[in-house]
Amino acid sequence: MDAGIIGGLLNALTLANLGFALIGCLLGTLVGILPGLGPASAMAILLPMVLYLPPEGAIIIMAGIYYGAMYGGSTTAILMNVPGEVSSVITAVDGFAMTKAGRAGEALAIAAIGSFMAGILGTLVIAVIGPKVADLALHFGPAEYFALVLFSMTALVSFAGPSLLAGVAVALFGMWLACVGTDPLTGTQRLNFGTMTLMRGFDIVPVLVGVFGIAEVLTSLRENVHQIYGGKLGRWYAMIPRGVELTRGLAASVRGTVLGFVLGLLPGMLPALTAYLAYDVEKRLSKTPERFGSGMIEGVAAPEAANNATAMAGFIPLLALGIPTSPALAILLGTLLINGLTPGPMLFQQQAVLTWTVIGSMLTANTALLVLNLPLVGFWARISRVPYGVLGPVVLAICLVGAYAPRNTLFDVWIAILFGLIGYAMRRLSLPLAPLVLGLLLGPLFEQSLRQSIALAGTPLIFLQRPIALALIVAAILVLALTWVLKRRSSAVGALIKESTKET
Amino acid sequence: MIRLWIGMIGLLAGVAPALTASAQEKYPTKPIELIVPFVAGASTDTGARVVAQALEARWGVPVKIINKPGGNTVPAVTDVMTAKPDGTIFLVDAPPQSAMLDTVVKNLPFKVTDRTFIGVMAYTPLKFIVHVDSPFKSLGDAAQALKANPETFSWTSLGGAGFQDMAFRMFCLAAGVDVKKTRAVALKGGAEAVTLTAGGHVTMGVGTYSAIAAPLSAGKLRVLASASPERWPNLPDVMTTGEAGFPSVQVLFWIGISGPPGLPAPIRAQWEAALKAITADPAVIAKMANVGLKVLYEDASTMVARVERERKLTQEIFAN
Repeated sequence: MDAGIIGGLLNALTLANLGFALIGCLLGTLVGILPGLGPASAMAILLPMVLYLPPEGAIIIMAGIYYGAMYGGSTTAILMNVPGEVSSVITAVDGFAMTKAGRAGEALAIAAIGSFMAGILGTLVIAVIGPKVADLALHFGPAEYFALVLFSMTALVSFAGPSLLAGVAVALFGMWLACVGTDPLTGTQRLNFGTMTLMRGFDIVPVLVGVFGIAEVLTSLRENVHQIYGGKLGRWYAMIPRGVELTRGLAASVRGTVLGFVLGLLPGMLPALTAYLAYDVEKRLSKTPERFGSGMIEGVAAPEAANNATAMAGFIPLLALGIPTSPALAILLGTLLINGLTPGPMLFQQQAVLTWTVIGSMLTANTALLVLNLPLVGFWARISRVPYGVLGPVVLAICLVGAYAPRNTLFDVWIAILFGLIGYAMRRLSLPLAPLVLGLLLGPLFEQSLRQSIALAGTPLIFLQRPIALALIVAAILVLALTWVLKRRSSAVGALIKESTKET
Repeated sequence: MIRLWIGMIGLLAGVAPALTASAQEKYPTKPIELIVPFVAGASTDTGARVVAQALEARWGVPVKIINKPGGNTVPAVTDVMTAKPDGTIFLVDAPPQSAMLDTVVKNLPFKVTDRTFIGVMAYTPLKFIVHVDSPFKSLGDAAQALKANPETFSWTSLGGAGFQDMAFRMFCLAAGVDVKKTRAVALKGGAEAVTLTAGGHVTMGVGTYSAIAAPLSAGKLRVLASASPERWPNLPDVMTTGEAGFPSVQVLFWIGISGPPGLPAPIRAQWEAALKAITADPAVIAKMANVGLKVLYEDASTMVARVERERKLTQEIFAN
């Protein structure tokens, strides 16, 4: 340990820096709870203000918002089936089921604990290996990404519902939606029917807010729901999971953290996608996969840990190579640059105190988030008992504002309403919703990496020539084959696929 | 409603900007919005934020950056073109949304030259980069390889819509190679272009200083040349394209401010004075340098001439 490390870690504990971490976390949690207002837009809005602060303060606040939002995103997903961030979509599946069973507190608590574990473990990995693994980001070219996308698609089996065909169709619909607008690579207009408004394409947030939030309210209206949960709730500390539930949740958190962290080192890897993959892994490892979707604690812990770990992992390529792996990190990069700090391996040496102050603040901020969030669990959980006549309109209002927020256009509000109706119809037809979001997420990655690979090599053989790409494709085929064999051999797994999609 | 959220966040942070406008002057008295047609964090955005902060200090009204990315900048530009010229909405201008736009997007719903150009504030030259293990030691080496085997020469394109393509097409013209024979890898943005080059996935890439600074310091890249008349201050050892034997390859990415059509002269005068003063402020110059931009002030008429000149050049370069 040299002086820079100790100095930096102590510096993170000064009152001012603790304060900055706390402010950042609170703002981030708030931003995470509000759908539409993601960490990137909140950080962009705050950027001019934090420029008045000392550099370390500015960076600590920005980083706090970033991982605070990952914490907050799960709250509304669990309580109202309205994901506050795209990365919490999959948390809603089992999280909301737990809320309906009166276990909102447990779901919120394990989400907070899972996020905390990912935050702390992630920080330790950053501190210990830091720049050494940054190169991984560079080894991934278009061919490797395409293979990774193919591999991610095997997760579709888990989200497809009773009929794999219906699930695939829904995912293709999502990918088709992702095609609308300006081709990101060549600027060509696609499927906009000559209108200006469709040039920008469908943003994921209004679609998400529609199919989950608005459709949820419509469904509840139809079913004449009085309260999400009618029974009694205990004190907040009684809601913290214990015993077997806790061990299962913690184990899932660790698996989610590892997966989220490794994938998070790659640029362009969205926290939402790692959350999906973490959920898929849990379901495959579980002895009772058929119970996923009906309130499994692993289904909340793993994706929440994974999305947080992905968020933390992004700091490594950012600090070591100046590669932002997400829009929010791009703004953080801007904050560093405006303050005259150029990321790179030299940053750890030349600005040792500052770098270690920021790393130290990750530990304090994550601890603060847990300490703040656990007692709030009881307060939040009580929302499930608010009469739906009150809660429903509030959820609707949050949804509509959330749809407007990311791109400042009223058109997106109409999109949200349209997709509210589509989501409602899909529920009535028992079509699964998760593949829609997965398709919308994977579509652009799939298309771009495929086209870039072919452009780069001039031949599709590139996928077989690059070892990482080939390994991923082989893995994808193996997983699919294994699923198929198991499905045929075991009726239990068959039942899984039938029952697990009673997703709301 | 979104304002309300922003306000709430501002209050919580305890650093909400002073909303009190100075009443002595006639303009500005209301908050000003600067529309950036790109994502937050890109060169145009960070540069615009430095200027917004300086304008806020000068005028005492909030100057907000609104990011409206996507659609080849057309939706964002249309918002400004159809806005009331009351001095509250402005466009952060740059080549893709001005000089290049009507070549890249056909049937625009507006005329590019109808907007009120106000001034240019900063620029950054594009740089030709290769992976550190590349056999090319100079731009001449790259040109030789390009001439010998154009069909295996891969490069980072932004799909015709971006400034990067301008640079590579100029290089092809100078080398006497048909750009259609080369292997263009279309990417989403400048940052991706640099990452792909730093990973050794393409033969040659193009990037601005702010995007290449970190991978360069990490020893992943070699800069072959800067497409500017002078050497870039942070990279004194890197040749200009002229020194490397390609004087016609000059690609400066500039950022400036434009208003809606028919912006009244008094408002324009206030803006011109403000931009001139800000670009001479040492604090602004230093911050611009931090984000990889060099301050350059050009008044409205010089900017109009620049856009016209670059428009013609774009039409020629993208003719084939």
